[in-house]
Amino acid sequence: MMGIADYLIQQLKEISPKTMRSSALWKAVAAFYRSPLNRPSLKADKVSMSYFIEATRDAYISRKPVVWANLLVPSEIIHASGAIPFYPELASAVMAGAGISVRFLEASEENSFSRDLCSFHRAAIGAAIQDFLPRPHMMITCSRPCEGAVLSFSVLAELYGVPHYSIEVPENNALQENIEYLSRQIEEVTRIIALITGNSNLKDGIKQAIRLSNEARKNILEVEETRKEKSCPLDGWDAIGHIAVLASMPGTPACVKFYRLLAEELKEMKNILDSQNKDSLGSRILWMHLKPFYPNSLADSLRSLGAKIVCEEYNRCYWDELDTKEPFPSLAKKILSHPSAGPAKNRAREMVRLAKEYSVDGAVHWNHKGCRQASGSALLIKDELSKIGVRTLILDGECVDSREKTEGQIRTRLEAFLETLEIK
Amino acid sequence: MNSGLKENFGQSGIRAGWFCAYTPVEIVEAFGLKPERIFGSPGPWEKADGILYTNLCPYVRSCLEEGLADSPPFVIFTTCCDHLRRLRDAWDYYIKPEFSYILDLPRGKDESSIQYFANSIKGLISSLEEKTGCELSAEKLRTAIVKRLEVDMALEKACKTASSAQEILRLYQLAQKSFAASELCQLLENRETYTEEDKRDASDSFAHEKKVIVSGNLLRSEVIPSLIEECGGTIVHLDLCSASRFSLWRSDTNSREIDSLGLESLLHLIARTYLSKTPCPRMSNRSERHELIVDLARTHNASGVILSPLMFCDSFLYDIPLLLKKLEPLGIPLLVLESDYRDENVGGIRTRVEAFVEML
Repeated sequence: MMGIADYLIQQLKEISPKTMRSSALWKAVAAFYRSPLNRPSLKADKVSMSYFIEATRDAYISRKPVVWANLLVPSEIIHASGAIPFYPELASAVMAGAGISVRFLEASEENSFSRDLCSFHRAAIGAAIQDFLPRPHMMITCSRPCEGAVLSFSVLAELYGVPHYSIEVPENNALQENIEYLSRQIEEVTRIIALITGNSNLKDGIKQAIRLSNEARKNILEVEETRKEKSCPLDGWDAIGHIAVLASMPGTPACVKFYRLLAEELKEMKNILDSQNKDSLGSRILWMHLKPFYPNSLADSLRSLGAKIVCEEYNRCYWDELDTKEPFPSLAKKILSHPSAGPAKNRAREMVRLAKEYSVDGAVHWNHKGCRQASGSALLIKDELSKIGVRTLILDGECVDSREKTEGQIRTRLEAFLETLEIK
Repeated sequence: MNSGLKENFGQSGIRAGWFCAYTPVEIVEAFGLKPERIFGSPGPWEKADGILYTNLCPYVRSCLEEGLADSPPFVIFTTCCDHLRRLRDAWDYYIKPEFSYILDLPRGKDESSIQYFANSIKGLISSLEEKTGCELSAEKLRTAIVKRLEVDMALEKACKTASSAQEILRLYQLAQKSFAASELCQLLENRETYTEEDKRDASDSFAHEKKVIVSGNLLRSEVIPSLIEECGGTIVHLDLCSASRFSLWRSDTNSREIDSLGLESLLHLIARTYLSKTPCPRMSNRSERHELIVDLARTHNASGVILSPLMFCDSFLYDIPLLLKKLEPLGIPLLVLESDYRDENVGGIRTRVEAFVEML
């Protein structure tokens, strides 16, 4: 007999684009949010959930102009201009989580998009072909961390008949002229968004967004400090999902609140565990790249094998405080300071630093099948980590395309790897 | 740079390897280096596959395999794709060449992109000056541009009179490996000359042939072109970055104009010329490439297009559906023949090519 969860998944699989744009659906979602059924394990998650429900509803109903962006496009400029940012890569992860991504992957394949392409982008294209996503007014991409985003967004822009602006990120992040070049592009794109939204007070908007982003940053740093402690209870497997907050919410009051609550909650939980003299036992793992977002049992495998992810590559504050007087050069530096924005040696250096700071016992690099930029440097990072005595397991897998899942094999490899780790 | 290399610099013709067709080889040449496109090891690529992920472009993996065995002392990369960026990382880390540089390649061809590319080239020049102890002069650069112009002209002439696509491919490879116009011209003079009737234009003698345009990035071997011709197809244009898209300077380039330009203007000219050539699908003016393929098909009266990109090349993989959309309404059939850069599966390729050519 079909359970309620199966029933809901079945309903989701068959959901139509029209339903996604209906007020009734969003009323139902809001009612669920307020109901006692909605009990996220962290209070902070309620804040992010509320933000995403509201922003996604507004995007579907077209309450404000919608700007599609990829991971490193600074959300501050979109919020400052009064538009709604929509991140299709994050949407693909959500669709995978809801068990409906295969429908869209198949739609992209039917339209001649190769299965060798990154499934985050393929799923978004398939969903766009079926008109399942909020319709964009414009698209912005950053050429880092990957070229795949620029290429796939250019296809999407053609599909929707909207302009696409590519912010080209220079490889060398130390040159002043490169910072200026990047800064000019960000400023130009921001002005274009403001033209679309009709925002005549961009200067104040930017100032406010930068201020809020800095406030959130302080709270992120607090979260990170707590997470370095052995008794911090946060499980990194779940925390990988916070990448959605980190990418799309900086520049909003909700982002400040999310990280403030998270910092407070983690401290509180840690203090309780400290008072009971309870440390988290088992191996401390640094998790690199992303994870499978479709329903899977890997998290259970990790827990049952006594391993805990204590730090995730993409889920941290990698940038310096932004300057309200120099917003665009600051945002340029923010992009350039992302470890995946430049050569792999930057990424390797950062992973070594994290491994030391978080006292990890081992590291796992999730080789997402279609991701050239991350997988192509996995071995180099493994070699650098081995120099400080940290062993790395490179796992080939998929983040969005559940048809490619090979859980049994991965579990066996994880098991063998974790057995060899020496807990420090 | 070690002192021995620095002292001997300028007379030794030190090899400088390059990979992407947007690498301004004129700069390398002007420094007295010997620019040489790396075409990679024929395989297997066991060592490279152990370093790079097997879902990375086979060209990149083949180059790393070659580099691990024998790397030029100087290597120059561009940011044209994630694959090449990762090749640079691996080259620096595992091979440690004397000199390595990665040029930022913009996507557009507007004035701001041209200026940015010119600045990026200046960065390469500064690094080369620092490494070699030589200063780049306008005169040296002019000489290098003229040399490149001669190469391009020699190739243009060769393409017009070549007997087969395989021969065109060989000539282009030679030009990119040695970048020596004199060698190329000599080769052209020595090879068998063809009569006017043999010329590969749209003359009556070819009116009933099944003409195809081959597009893609690099074809290492001649397997695919030979198979197409064996199956009854006639290749009328090779739109590859290792063939026609390597060509840069037009025959109407005014060498007098070049003579009057200073270093700054020459760099701007180089940047503009590179960004204005027939684009690869990575560039933002993708539709221009599609238009060009349609124009080529019409000019040569071609009845089909064979797209043969390298496996895992995202730029081409995203281009396929769009090119299909462009060609379908015009009744121009498209065959996609992904290449693993070794093309050892001759039987499989032949079956697909045969079926396509038959259908034309």
